Amino acid sequence: MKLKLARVEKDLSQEDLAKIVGVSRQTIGLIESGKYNPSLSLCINICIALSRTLNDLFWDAEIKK
Amino acid sequence: MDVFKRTKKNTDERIENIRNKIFKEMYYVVMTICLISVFFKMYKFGIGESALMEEAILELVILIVGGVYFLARSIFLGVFWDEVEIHDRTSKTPMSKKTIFRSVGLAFLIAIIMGINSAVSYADSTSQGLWYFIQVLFVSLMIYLPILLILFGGIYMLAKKISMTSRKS
Repeated sequence: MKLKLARVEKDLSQEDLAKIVGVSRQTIGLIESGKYNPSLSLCINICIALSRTLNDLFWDAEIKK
Repeated sequence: MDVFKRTKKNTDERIENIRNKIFKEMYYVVMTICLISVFFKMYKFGIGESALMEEAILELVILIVGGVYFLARSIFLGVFWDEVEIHDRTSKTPMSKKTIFRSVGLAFLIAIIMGINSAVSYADSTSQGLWYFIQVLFVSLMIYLPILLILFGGIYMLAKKISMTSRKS
């Protein structure tokens, strides 16, 4: 959800973000819906593309211990 | 001349992972087909017949070379020993003991198959069959048990040595 919001704030479509980061549109969609766990390097590339930190986009405050 | 220029391909990691998964499944399918073919030919020509070797040589080469390649690559990349490490962390029986048990178990299995084959193929009576079975079982065990222990134990020790060497360097 955070990823989607950040992408929309930057006025980017899934396809635009996918092109910048170098993956397919479907991969971005699956990351946003939580159905695919990206590698750390892909997470970093997405953060750079959206000018955000890893905490902003990928930290889940509701992680159960 | 730009036609021959190599450009760096951007690969989607998710697609790469799915492709690798498909290649893995494809490997299992090919191995299963080869195994079924070998068993069918064993049934058709009989175990121990030279015709079986001639007919099933391609399947056996695919099975053996594929397995040896996988084992060699995983040993030299250190993956084999890492798996042993993870296994020993979670299992009550260490991999070293399991290797010995597997070698002994496989030797017994081969010896029993050889024994049954001899008893069925060459014996004229039940008592003769039983005698042939015991003889062949004993001799096969004497041959295969040390060979398999040296083979599997050797692979285990080699993997350990390579792993220790790579850690030092």
